[in-house]
Amino acid sequence: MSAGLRVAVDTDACCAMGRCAATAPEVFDQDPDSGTVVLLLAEPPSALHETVRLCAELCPCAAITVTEN
Amino acid sequence: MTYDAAIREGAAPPSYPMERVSPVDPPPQLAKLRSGRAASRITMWDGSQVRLVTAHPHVRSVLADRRFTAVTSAPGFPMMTRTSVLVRDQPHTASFIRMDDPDHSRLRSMLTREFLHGRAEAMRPVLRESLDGIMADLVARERPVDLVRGLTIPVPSRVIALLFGVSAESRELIENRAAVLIDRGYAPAQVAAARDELDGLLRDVVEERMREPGDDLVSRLVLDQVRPGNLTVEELVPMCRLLLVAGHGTTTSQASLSLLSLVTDQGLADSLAASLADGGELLPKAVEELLRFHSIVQNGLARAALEDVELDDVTIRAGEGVVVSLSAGNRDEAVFASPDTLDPHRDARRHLAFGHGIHQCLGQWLAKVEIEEMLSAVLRWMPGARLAVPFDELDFRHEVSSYGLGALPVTW
Repeated sequence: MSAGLRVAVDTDACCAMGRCAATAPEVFDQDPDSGTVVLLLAEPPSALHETVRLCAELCPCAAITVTEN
Repeated sequence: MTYDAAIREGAAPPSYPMERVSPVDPPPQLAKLRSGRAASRITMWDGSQVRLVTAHPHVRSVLADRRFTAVTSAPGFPMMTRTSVLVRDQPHTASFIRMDDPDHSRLRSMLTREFLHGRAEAMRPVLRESLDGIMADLVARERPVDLVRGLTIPVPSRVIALLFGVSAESRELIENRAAVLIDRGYAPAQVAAARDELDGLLRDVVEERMREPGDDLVSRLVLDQVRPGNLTVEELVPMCRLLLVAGHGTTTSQASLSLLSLVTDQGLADSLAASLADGGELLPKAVEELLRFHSIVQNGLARAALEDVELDDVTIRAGEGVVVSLSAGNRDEAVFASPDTLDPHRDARRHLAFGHGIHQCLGQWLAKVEIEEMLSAVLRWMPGARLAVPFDELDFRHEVSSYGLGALPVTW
């Protein structure tokens, strides 16, 4: 079995910049009014792992946590 | 003697900002400091000593850490210019860029939805139409044409006018004063006068919207925030000033330098022209790289430590000032291979040109749309555009906090 990856978002920390939703729209969306992150896929397929790690890095407010297992 | 050894022997830390050697590269001294300790000492214009942070991971770390304050009146806060003192001594005029949370997020969140990615994209067609008008007029003129006066000043200016819903006439009045605020060439008293006049003009705009709301950002803030009592007019005026100062001069600077790259770098021009004929996928990627490469917030961002913070191999003490250099971080070879080469094909998304942390540029999507559209317009309307004066004669704006060009004469 390939290594899994779990994504969590902290909507309180989210500053609604939307870099995650623009970078990995399959995994993240934004509330249309507040801009707050909406998690679409907590366990994205392995093809998206690298992009999701980048999203966590790009988030200006450290609102995305990626756990590898 | 190494830098650290020189400091140990009592040499005064180097004065900041440092001097550039090449006009399109950050001062070479920054690269030397980046290979040393996490935070070196520098001497500011007023003789004070603060810490300078130059490596990409350290810049990120300071900007994301709430133990570093953005409040100008905090003990030890670096005074970047002579006019920083003004902001420190008149805290009631501060906008939310000079606040920490929760004050900062209370005000910034009122603007979030105005600057969402989707909102910026929705402006693209309007912008393109406006740009086609501007370009049609420019190509009909006698060559050479100055792309700063002709394009990179008017475009952000029209965008601000759209957001604020102001006429061309008051737009010009407002911008003349806004330009003084970011120019080190003006004395503090002149800056203070310009800021007071600007605030007066913006207050007039706000009061007009209070009487007669329209379909613009200021009207929406009046209706959604001022009327229900969430926001005072005294808070709204500095907010409008911030949008203007942060959204106008910076976009002009970054667009001007991006266009300079376009008209002087044949490889870049060829790649972008080829891509444009084929869907234009390279353009947003190239714009990220141009943001990394030029990093127009040339002297970096100021913070002060609220408590002792360990930054890698250095302890920054409570009450110490810190300057983080975005341009040094963006040339960090540990993150960007061959950092001094402009490569539109690289993935430059980790750049720090918009800062990092809670204060990261709110208008970044809009800025990118504007710059993409300006590059695209020049490629379409002025194919083969090239510099019309020798490179050495270009007027680089060293005194302005957002580094840019006074003029960009081109022919095609």
